[in-house]
Amino acid sequence: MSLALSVRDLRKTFTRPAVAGIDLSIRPGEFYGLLGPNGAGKTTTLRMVAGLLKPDRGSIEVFGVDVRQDPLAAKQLIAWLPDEPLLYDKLTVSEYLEFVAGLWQMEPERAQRNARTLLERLDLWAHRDERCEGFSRGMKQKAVLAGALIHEPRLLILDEPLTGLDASIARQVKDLLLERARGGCTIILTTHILEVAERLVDRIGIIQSGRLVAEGTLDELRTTAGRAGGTLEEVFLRLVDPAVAPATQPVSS
Amino acid sequence: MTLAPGSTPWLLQHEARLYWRGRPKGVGGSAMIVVLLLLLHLLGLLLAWAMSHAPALPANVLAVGLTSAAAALLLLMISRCLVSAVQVLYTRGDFDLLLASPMPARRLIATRATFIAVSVSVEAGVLIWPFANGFALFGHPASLKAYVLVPTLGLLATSLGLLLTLLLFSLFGPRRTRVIGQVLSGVIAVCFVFAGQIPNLVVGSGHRGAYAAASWQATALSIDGPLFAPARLWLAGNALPVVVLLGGGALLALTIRGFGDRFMSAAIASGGIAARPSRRKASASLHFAGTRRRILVRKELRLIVRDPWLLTQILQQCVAVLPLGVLAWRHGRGGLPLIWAVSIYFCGFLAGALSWITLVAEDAPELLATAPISRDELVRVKLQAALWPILPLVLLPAIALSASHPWFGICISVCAAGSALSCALLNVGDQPTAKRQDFRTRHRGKFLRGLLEMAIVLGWSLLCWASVWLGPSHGR
Repeated sequence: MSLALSVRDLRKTFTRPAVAGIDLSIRPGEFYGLLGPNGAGKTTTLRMVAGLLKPDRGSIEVFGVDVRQDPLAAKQLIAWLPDEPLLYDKLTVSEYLEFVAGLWQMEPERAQRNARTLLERLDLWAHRDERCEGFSRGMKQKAVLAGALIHEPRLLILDEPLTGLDASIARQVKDLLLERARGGCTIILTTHILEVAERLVDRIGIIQSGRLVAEGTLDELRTTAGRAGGTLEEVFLRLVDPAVAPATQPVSS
Repeated sequence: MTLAPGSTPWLLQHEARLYWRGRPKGVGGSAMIVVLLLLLHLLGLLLAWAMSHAPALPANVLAVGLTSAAAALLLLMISRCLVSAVQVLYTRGDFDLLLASPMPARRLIATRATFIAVSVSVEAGVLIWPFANGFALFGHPASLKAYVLVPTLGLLATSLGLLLTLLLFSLFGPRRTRVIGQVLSGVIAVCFVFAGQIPNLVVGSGHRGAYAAASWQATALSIDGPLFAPARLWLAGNALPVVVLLGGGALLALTIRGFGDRFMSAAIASGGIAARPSRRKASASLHFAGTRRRILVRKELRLIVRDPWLLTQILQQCVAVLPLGVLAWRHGRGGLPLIWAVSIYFCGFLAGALSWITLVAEDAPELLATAPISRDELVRVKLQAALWPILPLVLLPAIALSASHPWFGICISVCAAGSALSCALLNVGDQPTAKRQDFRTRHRGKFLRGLLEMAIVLGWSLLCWASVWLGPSHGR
């Protein structure tokens, strides 16, 4: 069975190397957390996977589809959710969902069904005919999440999806993500809220200076960091500690 | 020079820095400004030279001309000030920071109002003062009073702009004032263009037309009446301009003193106000329908139609065609209905504007970039969305002139279609994504693109002209 995401020797340089040879292998249905300090290269990596940036070198395959060779086929399988909501203020939520479903060429009946389920699930049904310009940040983020899920992506990429959300909305989002992961959707998530990663993800990759420095389940990372019983925060800080990091070899996933 | 932090000059310097942001910088920017000023001076000198050979204008005509010009300029300035005042309330930027600082709130409002007056005066002055210099050199030193008149109007316009903003705020509340203010500003600017065309409509175009129009107004509106009294006094006295300028300053000071606190309250009330939830009658269920192309086109059209500010901006820029239309109307009487030819310009401009909105001012570019749709298809659909609303305008000349001047009508429709398509295609390419709010300034820093748009429209107009004259019976 092909991997949900296979990344090999991925490299991207702006003024300095942002991603310096990353390998990732993520299995179908896995909930994967990509963690790292600011500027480590997480977002750049994910933007390359989503087709928003061209890699300088390396290969990316999504369910066996080469992102560089056949970008449209790969995009058909992916949904991208950045930290800043991608919304049209002058559209209502239902119009927005219709638009996204149209972009992914969904059959109208299926799109309607999915939209209704998502809007009800995210408490947006009552607001379906309101324009997004009047929404709070949390409501916007929920609308965008509904847009990302409406076309039933097999790979969901989330870049800081919980930034700025209140506890109640964050809970709704987390529950929905877990539900999707249980349903077989592969999810890759970056976050600075380590408790979220600790609660949600199956496996964690820690990235620093454009390289994957550690990868595994929380227990495996505890062993790598030599922090048995430690929290993810302790493990993370240990692994990205400049005094320790040189000893940490880049990981080939 | 180091200014005392928190002082009024320091705040003014801060305002100036913000104002200048995004405008051309460095040697190139300075060179562009110098060239623009030189060109305007050249134009001013040419006009003054031409006028020096014409008979001297009677005082009553001058008074009418001055009143009309000042009124039109005041309209334009009020429009500009209204936008600036609304921006103070809603485009928070640094305003929240300043409000939270231990600085007297009234000083903050006074500085911002003063800077609005200064900026609006300088913007108008840059266009007017070179002409005043030209006339002064050709024996009309009184024209230098423009150096006082423009700032006076700037101060007056700022006072009126602030008061108008407060009035809108009390009438419509914080949620609606922003859009209504922006729309009203656009409407006032449109009125300015219409006002400028009154002489051409009433009597004729050009210098003689303006002269005749002024004489007509002087007779019709009674030159001795109170309407023209300020202009008569202005032209007669030398000390009066300075007094009026001081009066303008005093008026602004009084406005700030009298209404500054209310303006500050409005600014605080508008902070964090989200747009009013706009809802249609909630449907019982969802109705998704149509192909991808139709859904994409519908989305683009919805985004344009639902943005009143954007619509007024488009309208405002479209009325730039009015002088051309009046000219064509006057010259077309009795022969070919030349006014229809204006649609070549109109369609070209409109297509350029709409295609910029659909192609460049995309609100969610990353959503489209991650969607399984090729760039070519996306561009095609967005061009369709930009061109659909223009189609009726393109067809109108051919239909309207089918009975009287069929060949002329067909030529205009074909060339209008060509003009629209060419101008729309100008926006296809790797342009950085812009915001819809930048619509007014979309040609800033893209001088060549603007020039190319004009050249395209001109080229299609010439082609139309050639086709008409080479065609059967000169277009009939």
